[in-house]
Amino acid sequence: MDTSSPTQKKKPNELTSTLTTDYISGFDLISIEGYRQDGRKPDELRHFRVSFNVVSDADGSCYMEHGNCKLLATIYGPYEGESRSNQEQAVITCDFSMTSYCVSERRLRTFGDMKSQKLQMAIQRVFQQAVNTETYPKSQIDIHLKILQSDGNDYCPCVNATTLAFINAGIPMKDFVCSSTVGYIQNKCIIDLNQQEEQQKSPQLTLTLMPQRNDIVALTCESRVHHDIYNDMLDAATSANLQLFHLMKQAVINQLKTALHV
Amino acid sequence: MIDDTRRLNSFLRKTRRGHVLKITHELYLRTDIPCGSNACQQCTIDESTLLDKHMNNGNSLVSTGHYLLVDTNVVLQQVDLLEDPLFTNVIVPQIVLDEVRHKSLAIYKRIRSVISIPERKFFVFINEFNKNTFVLRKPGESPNDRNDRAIRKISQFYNEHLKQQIPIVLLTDDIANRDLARQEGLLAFSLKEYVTTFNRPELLDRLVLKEESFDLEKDIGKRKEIIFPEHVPLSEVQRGIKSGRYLQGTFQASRENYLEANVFVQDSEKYNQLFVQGYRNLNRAVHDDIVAVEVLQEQEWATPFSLVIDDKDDDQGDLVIEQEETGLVVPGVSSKKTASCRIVAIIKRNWRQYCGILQESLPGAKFHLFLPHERRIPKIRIESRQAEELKNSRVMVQIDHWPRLSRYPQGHFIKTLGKLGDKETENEVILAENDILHHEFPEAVLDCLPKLPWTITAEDLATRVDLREFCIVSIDPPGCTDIDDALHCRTLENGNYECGVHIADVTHFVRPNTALDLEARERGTTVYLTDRRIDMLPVLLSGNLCSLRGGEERFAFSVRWEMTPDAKIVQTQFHKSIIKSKSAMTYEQAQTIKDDSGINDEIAQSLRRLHSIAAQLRKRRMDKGALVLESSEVRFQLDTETHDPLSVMNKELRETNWLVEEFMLLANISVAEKIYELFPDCACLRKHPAPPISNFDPLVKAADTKGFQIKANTGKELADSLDQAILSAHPYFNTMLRMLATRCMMQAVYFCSGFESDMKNFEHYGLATPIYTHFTSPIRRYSDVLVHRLLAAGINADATFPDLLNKRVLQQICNNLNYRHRMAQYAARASVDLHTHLFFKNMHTDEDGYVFGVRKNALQILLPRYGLETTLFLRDKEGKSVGEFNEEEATQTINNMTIHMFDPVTVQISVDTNNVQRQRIQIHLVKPFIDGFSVSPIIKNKTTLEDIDDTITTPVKRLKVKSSK
Repeated sequence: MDTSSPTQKKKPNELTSTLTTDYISGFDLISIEGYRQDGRKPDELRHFRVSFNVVSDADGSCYMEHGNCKLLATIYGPYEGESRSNQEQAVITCDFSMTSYCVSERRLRTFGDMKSQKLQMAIQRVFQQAVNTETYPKSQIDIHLKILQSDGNDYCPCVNATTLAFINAGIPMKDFVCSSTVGYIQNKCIIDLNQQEEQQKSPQLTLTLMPQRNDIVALTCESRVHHDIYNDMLDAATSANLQLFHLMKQAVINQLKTALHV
Repeated sequence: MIDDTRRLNSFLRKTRRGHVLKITHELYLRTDIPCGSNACQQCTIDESTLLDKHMNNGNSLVSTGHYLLVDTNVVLQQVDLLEDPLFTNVIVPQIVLDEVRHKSLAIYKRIRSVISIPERKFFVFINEFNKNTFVLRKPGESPNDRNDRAIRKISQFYNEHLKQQIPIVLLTDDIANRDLARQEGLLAFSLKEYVTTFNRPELLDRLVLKEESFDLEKDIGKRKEIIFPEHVPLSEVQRGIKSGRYLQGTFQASRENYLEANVFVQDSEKYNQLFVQGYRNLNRAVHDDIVAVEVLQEQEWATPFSLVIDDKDDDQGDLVIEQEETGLVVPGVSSKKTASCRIVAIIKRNWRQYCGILQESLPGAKFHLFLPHERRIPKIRIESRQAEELKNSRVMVQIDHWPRLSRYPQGHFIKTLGKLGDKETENEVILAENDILHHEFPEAVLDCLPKLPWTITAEDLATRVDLREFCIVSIDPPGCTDIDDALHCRTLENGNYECGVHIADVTHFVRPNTALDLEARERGTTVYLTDRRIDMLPVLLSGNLCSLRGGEERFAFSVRWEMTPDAKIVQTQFHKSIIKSKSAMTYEQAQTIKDDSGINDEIAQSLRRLHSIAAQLRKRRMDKGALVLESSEVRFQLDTETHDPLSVMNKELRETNWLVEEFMLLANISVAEKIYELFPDCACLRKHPAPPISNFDPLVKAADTKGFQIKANTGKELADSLDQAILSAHPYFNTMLRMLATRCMMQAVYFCSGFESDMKNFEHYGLATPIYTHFTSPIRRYSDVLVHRLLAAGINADATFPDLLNKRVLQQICNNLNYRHRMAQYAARASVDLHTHLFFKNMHTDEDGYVFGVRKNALQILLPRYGLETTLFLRDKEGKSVGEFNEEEATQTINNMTIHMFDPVTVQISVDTNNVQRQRIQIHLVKPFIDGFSVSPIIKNKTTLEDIDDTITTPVKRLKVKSSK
């Protein structure tokens, strides 16, 4: 949780304030009528749009918009790997970067920091499991992810876009991989957090799932959550992922239909 | 269902560091938002559909059934009126709620509570997310105009949506909005136009007067002069504060002189407190406002008028100003000038509702002056058509605004509290003035209570330690119904003792974030008035299920210590339990059983063991420097029927009192250590800061007059020097010193450990313990509920919830609790005062007392028998002041008779009924007799306590929280 006690001291008012209703001040993330700040209900996803084949040089590519998040995922490969590559199965590498303008405050260095590296590692690991890598021994597959505009969590849209890019590249996978966040705010689970909701210091959970096999690929939860609410959050995350899966599947089918002129 | 219409809302924001951020929020517009009308054929109808199909409230302006649509300005200004049950079938747009919340949280809460009552049929219409009613801000349009347009759009939408069946009446006090609405063919009225047709004058009284009506008055020809300087605009204030030209602070009006005030400055190294004097400088600030001030040039600094000024009610409203002001800036007695300032702007008004009476005015007058009960609030000008009826009642009034032309702020009438002088009414005033929440518990709260008959389930038994066989007893004052603590002590096989404190397990019933919990959190504490108790929890819990009554099985939260016979703790354990108290005793009963060597049953033995441990604990605590402080605690014997006070008695302290107290302290300390260990960042603790040495000056000075030296560098030194200051000829002297010492102390406060960087600051000065909390009275204090939850979560006895570890929320709750505790103390004191007045009302008696303070024009007299402190003004019969004041020796000399601090005196007590609003105890000196000043003694004398011994006493449990606790 937050440990910003030095900044607290600068504001003596906060400690001495006697306003009796302080703790309900500020805004509710979920209004009493049950709507979130952006007009969604707790169990609704953000706007979701995909287009395929946006980079013709790549073997597979996908441009995705999820809420305010916009990103480009491209797949290169499989191609013959370097000598150190695995003899048994394909090696997946991931390169994640952000544009300097993708968050509200411009940053100069947008690659190679801790956060990107962790994210790269996580995505590599997820797809190492999800892709049928043994189909391509001694080869390598590269994932390139570029965030054009960020809206809170980057990991989930990256996973989803990568899945679609893999499908676009025609690389066999065990299942779709979907990823989604769930937050627990005002005693309710809300799915698919946007940036504003994510900034709240409330319990959050990120679930990466293979929906048709019902396998959990990855699960992260960085805040302290009591087991009583943990199961609720997990259920909400699963249903969010299923919603997402249907959208992704629909996108793939639509793409196929246009490609085949059906 | 989300419609595919998605909008982006981008704006730029500057950060504290000066960076500019572009922030984009999404907005999803929907088509599935219900309109809430039962007459609608398209929307789904469920329990949230509130608006009637056929509605009629007898309004002649719109004779058919109609829905009201309120604008922001109506809610903000006229919420008093909207609370009237007359208003039903009201559509409250979401945008209005948002705006209200942004502008005033208090009003937001009030309108929300109206909305929450289904019978009132206030429907919240979500217009901002609705595709049909969303309006985009046009370029160049102000946010306000856009919101007005949004509200008109709602009216249009309803008209179309309901196919013109039910007209929508837009209520707005904004003339521009009203005109535009009428141009667009909508029905729109001002609230006044709408309400006038009902023919109910009391509704019109509650209507807030608007600034414009006063401008009109000026036009009519009643020439008025501008009295006050203009307030500086807020943007300039912010710039001024940044550049250091202005300072921000809290305005505290003087109780004694209505033309003086102090401003407690925030964030300034140079000034802590600034003095304000005179009308122009005060510039319409009202007590408790947050103001911006400008420090005056040093030659303009004023001198506080440090006399105790009797308030006079004879000024004539707006007419007298100039003379008064010039007359008042006269140097006071001491010529010490204080750093002074003038108010340049009001940053935030902290107006609330005030109790008081109407000042008599000419018959038929439209405007009346209202005299507030609280002296620090100025008189308020209100418009009322029912002045005749309100003549002898207490009324409640709200300030609306304070124009520059008016000497007094303008307000409006809210309600009558009852007849003046009635005890019920006066109680009501005490509660309202001290902001004590005393409404009945709402339905939603009562719904959270367990259903009777309540039984213990097998599940409960499995999770709790069964202590039903233990010899557990509770000791409380007589008549106590909310028993929250019980004790036991038994010997173990190894010769050690096992002592246990068992506290009612309130958190088993009060689950976090339920309506019950939020209500208790808001109330913060149970308030004990002399003749009434305002519970924090509904009586089913406080008086029954949570109360550890004798012979009944109850849930408890237990702390058990294994102790050696010389009171050294070997180990401590905490757990939830089931207990069955063997006996609920009073202090007196327990004392008798303990002392009677003939009784040797389990209870008696247990009591004796507890006593021996407690005595050792107490001694150890005293050795560490814990203070024994005094405050006059009195108890009224009340008439059983009328609850009028019959007699007064000082509270008697027995050994068993401190026996219980010692164990409670020990439990609190043990729990404090445990929760701090478990949750160092978010433990709810209680601290009592050491007062600065300068606080003790009055005490040191007073003791010095009798030749004693008080050292106060540490708590230990203070305790020791107080112990030594004993005059054998004057047994009450030591008690008085201790009472003085109590007044030097700081307030003890709750806080969240995560906000205090240094553990040194956790110290509880009065108890001389490095860490402390409240654990032992969850029935009557919410802080204990918090502590119970933390401890239960920490030892895995209960579920957690997200806010448990949110230290910001915790600190905010603590702030509220501190405020509520303070207010509860004030209310308890006010209640004692009220009963003292009633007690002396028909009595004219002589009483012995002591001089407890020497002021410039008065003596403070303490009457130990009644625990009453009153002021003896040194004035002769013509009102001229007598007496020569010697500040160094704290004496007053009248006609060669010198009166010293602590001198015994005899005074005559009566009640001054001249001022109907603030009746007060008046005293005259009898002994020592001073010619021309004193009065002769009364022969017929003192009422005796024996006469009324057979009346039943209403318990006043811990009436005044001793500062040592």
